[in-house]
Amino acid sequence: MSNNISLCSDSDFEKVLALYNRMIYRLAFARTRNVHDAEDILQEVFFRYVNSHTTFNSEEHRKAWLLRVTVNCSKDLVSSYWHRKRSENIPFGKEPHEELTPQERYDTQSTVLQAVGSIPEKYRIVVHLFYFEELSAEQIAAVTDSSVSSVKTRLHRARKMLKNILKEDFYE
Amino acid sequence: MSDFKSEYKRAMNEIEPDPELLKRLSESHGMLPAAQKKKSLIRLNKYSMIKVAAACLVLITAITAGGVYAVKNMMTAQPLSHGGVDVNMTDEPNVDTSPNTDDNINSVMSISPKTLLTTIYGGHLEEVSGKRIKLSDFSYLDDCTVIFAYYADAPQEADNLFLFISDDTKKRYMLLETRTEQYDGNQFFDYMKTSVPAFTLNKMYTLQSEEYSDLLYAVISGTDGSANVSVLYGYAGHNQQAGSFAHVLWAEENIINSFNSIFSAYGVIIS
Repeated sequence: MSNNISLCSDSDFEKVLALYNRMIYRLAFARTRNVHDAEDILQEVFFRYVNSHTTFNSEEHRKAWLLRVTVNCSKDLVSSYWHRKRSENIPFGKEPHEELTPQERYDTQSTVLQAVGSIPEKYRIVVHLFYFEELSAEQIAAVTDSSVSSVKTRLHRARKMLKNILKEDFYE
Repeated sequence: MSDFKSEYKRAMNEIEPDPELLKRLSESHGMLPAAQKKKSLIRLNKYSMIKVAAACLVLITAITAGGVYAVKNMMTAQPLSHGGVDVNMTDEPNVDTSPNTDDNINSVMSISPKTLLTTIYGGHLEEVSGKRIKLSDFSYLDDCTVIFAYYADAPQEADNLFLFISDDTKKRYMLLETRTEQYDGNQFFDYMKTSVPAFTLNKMYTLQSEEYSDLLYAVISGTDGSANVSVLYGYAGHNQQAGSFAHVLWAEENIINSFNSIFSAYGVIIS
């Protein structure tokens, strides 16, 4: 198909990297709450991208692919034994070898970010995709490999939780 | 006061990846050598390093045990009959060994019991984990026997439960995916009862250890009383993680006897 977008040239890769690095990084951060994990995921996503032979028929298709791979990579990391054990050992935001972490800056920077960070992972990712990436429930369902009703339920529950945490600061 | 969406976007927009990392990614065309990758290892404290070393030891042990076990399985597997129907263990129809990419994620995977068992109990869960398998024709359920099911990947969302079924009349083996929203075993069995009405819950019990509590094992019997269906439910492995192997090993220790009676009917002996 002539409209298909090739991935393989260096210039294409740089364009894609420039265009989507923040999207991937922020989604990964929303899921993991950890800048280092987000960086690991960012690298992994682009590694998979380079090694993928997927042909994209639109930029939307490419974006959806990257979002989905980011979700999958985040899932892999979050549910891994490594991550679970490390999370128990290292308090959130405290890095053993750093006096001042970017993490701490992020944590103190925004009440909203902290509130979102405090709700369970499966809700955080839906909240991020809905409010930040502005995806519809149908699009989120496709990215997260869930049903639309499941996404809507999670959004509803997430809002409820955020309302409880943020009290009067939460309104849409 | 700004609304939630604006505030969240504002806060998130301030989060940027390390420019140095982006530069290196760009220069390497995404193919950073491992040595150049920013890895989490450097962030671990001494206590964690000990744990990592222990996890590596478990991994090596598991791989070794898995290899020995796989070889043993291959040597002991023989064609046997089950329910009066011959089950040819040497027949391996259309084994899907393609990488788990989004391209093939919806494909139906056919795999022989021997291959699957070897794969799972040999510790190579990644070959089947994460695959989303759809069964297009549910009429097969009338004729098939669910040999067992397991969670290939049980993250906090989109849990994937794989049922491994054999179609006795057509001698086909299939994996099909079901979906549950929660870890809750009761919900799972409600789902099973409504989705697979041919089977009823016979026995269910949870296995727990100090480290893992999310593994639940159950035995479901066919309504005609002839088919035993064993369901392994819970977190049963994840892509090449040390914990997965430990978990599988742990699971084996606990359920091995229960599985033996079922698997032995298929010529596979677990010891």
